[in-house]
Amino acid sequence: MKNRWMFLLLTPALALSLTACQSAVNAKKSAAANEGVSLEDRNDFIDQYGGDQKLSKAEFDKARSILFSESDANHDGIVDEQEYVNDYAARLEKQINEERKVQVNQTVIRFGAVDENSDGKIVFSEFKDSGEILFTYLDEKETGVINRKTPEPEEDGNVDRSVIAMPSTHSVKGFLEIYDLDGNGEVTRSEFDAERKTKFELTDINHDGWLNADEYQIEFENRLDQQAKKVRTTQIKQAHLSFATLDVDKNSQVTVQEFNLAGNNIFNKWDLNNDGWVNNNDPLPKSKSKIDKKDADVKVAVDK
Amino acid sequence: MKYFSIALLLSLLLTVPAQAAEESAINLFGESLIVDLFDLDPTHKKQINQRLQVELKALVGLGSEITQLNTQGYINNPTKNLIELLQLCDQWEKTSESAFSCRLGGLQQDWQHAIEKSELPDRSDIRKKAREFLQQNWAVSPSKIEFTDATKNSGFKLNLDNFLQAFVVDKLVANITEFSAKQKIKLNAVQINLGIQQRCWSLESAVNNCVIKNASPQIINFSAAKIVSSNNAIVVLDQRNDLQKIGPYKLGKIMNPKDGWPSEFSPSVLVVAKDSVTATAVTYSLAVKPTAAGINWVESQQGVEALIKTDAGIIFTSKGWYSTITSDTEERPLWSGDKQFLIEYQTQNLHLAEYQRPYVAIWITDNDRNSIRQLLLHGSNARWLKEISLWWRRYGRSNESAFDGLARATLAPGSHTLTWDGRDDKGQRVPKGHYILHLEAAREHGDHEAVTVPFELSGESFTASVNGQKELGVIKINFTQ
Repeated sequence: MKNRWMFLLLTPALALSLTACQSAVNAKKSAAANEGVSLEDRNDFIDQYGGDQKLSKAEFDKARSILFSESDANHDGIVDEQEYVNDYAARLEKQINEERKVQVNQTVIRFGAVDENSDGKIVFSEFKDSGEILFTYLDEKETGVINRKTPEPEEDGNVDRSVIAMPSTHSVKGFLEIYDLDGNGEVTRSEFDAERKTKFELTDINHDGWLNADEYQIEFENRLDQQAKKVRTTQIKQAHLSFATLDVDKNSQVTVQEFNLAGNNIFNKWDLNNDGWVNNNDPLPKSKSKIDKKDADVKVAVDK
Repeated sequence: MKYFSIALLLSLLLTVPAQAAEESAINLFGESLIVDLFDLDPTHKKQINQRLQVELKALVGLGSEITQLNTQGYINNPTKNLIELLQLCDQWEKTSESAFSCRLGGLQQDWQHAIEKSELPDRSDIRKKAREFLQQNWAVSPSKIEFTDATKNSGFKLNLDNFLQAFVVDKLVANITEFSAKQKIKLNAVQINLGIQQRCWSLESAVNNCVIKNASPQIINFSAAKIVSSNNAIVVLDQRNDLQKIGPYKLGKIMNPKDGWPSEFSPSVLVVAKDSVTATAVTYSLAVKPTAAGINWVESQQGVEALIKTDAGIIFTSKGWYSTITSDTEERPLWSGDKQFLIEYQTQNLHLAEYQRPYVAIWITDNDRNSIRQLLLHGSNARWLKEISLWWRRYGRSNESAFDGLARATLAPGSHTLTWDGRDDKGQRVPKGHYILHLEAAREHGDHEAVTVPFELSGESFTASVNGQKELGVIKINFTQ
């Protein structure tokens, strides 16, 4: 079995490499992305509302009240759709920026890994080598093709918790998303090699035959920013839907009461033993679809 | 000593009404120019006044030369000043490693449209343009400055703004002092204010120290600060409320030349240097460089000191900052003489690969665990800083804009030292009392350790130490001469 850790450092595409490694070790994390609700999810919820491993209803209500007043830009006690979406967009942006920073910092590490002889340049042979590792990692049986039938690698149960969620080459799904350009559901080795060559040439902005750290980072940032743009669009659509959910009486205004009503529902979905606390004493909710996904995406910045 | 404050009337040259009865500040490039000349009698005052008028007339022309160059792509018979100005731009772009640049005027339109449409521009698009603009160039000869054809076709424009004002200020000081020396006029000091520029020159023998104006106490927490030197330039960049609103987004106004996008956190910056051009270029560079990198870079520049205040109010300074300025407020004598507060700490685990090294937070609190000073972080990736869970929950997560200034490499095996200057996060000296030094380490496989070293600051020498059990070895404080 290959040294998985070394491989993760070698992938040039975005890898939440450290997270993937951690999840392999940390048994508490949930195995599959879309099934059960994990402890991590609950901790995120608690964290989001300013709790310290436990969250009381009072703390939750306080945080919600701050959220409401921050959304109410003109302080008229009502949040209309525009105020709601604007506030959501601004919070989302903050989160995007935070993650962006983390991911851009990772490119330095990845560059170093692809630059085999550490001369500050990635030449095509080095780039090719990293591609080789990428492809053969997923194509364990060496069939020369990666398609939807290709089994996902063993330890990959990693849940990408980032808002930007770039597709990752650690999974067959992510790999296909990146490399299946003609959309026929499969990527042959020669398809892959050709795409890699094109990618190398496009990344080499000054056409001097190698990639320097700058070019490497620019290519990544461009991809990242394109992805962030998509995320903004879908999330803001989602924000409009969330507003509609909050606006119980459908008068295009969300009052404090409507907001609190929604808040109570959210809290109750976690506080399953009904003791006014969300903590380790509560059983985990069964189904993820019952949790308000919107809330999980955007961090509430609560000043303690 | 008495001084005369002279505000100049140049009714024919600048935008001041011809019949203004009172003395008023001159409007220069949209800012008020104020020139104070110290210890002059009326005759000499008049002489220097007249000289100043001549100099200003020449310098004001720079504005229109630049406009012409930007509009036409060339200018015939450029002034020596313009040639020098452009040279300085290039020089500072190199010295700052492209954190400062005069080349991004062509992006102003994109950002203006964004504000009007309330929509963020396409980031990849802006990045591409910015990088292209940084490549653009021009040919210089005594008879002509001309953009290359590529430059003309790219939509390139110079933007100089505060850099131009700085250049003018430096020229004024140089001209006035040279003129006074030639005419054997005993000019003790000159102080010039223009926009964010403050410039002082005084004879070594003169008592005047420059006082920082415009730096409100919120930035540097001193009621009035004096600079100790006879020739200095100060720039104060207060970004606390200076954001531009684009739709629901608030962004800083200063673009990072490398990608044409405002840097994420907009710190306020104070710089002291020997001349205004230097102070300005350094200020704008620091508004863009990550904090720790910025401080390192400033420390490599001669004769420049800087203070950076993050948007959350945390202060980082270059090494010589506090000795450059003296404060009117009382110094707390805990660190009198050469006492040093030295912290020594070490890791136990010597056989770790680089990616396995612990993330460590080091900070000082009072006895109630209120943060007094964040000292440093080993590790910079925010994803892993969260693993330092006690620190993160109490302090880290609400102060992310400070990470850039605090973050260092993950903790390498062996012993390390760190000194504390006795100041809190706002740059104030702490009073006598009981404090706690905290170190908290976290590693990927769940190993986590938090160590505290209580100590008392009384002015007396002391040592204190605690032994860690897992990641951390001995932690020792040495407060001695």
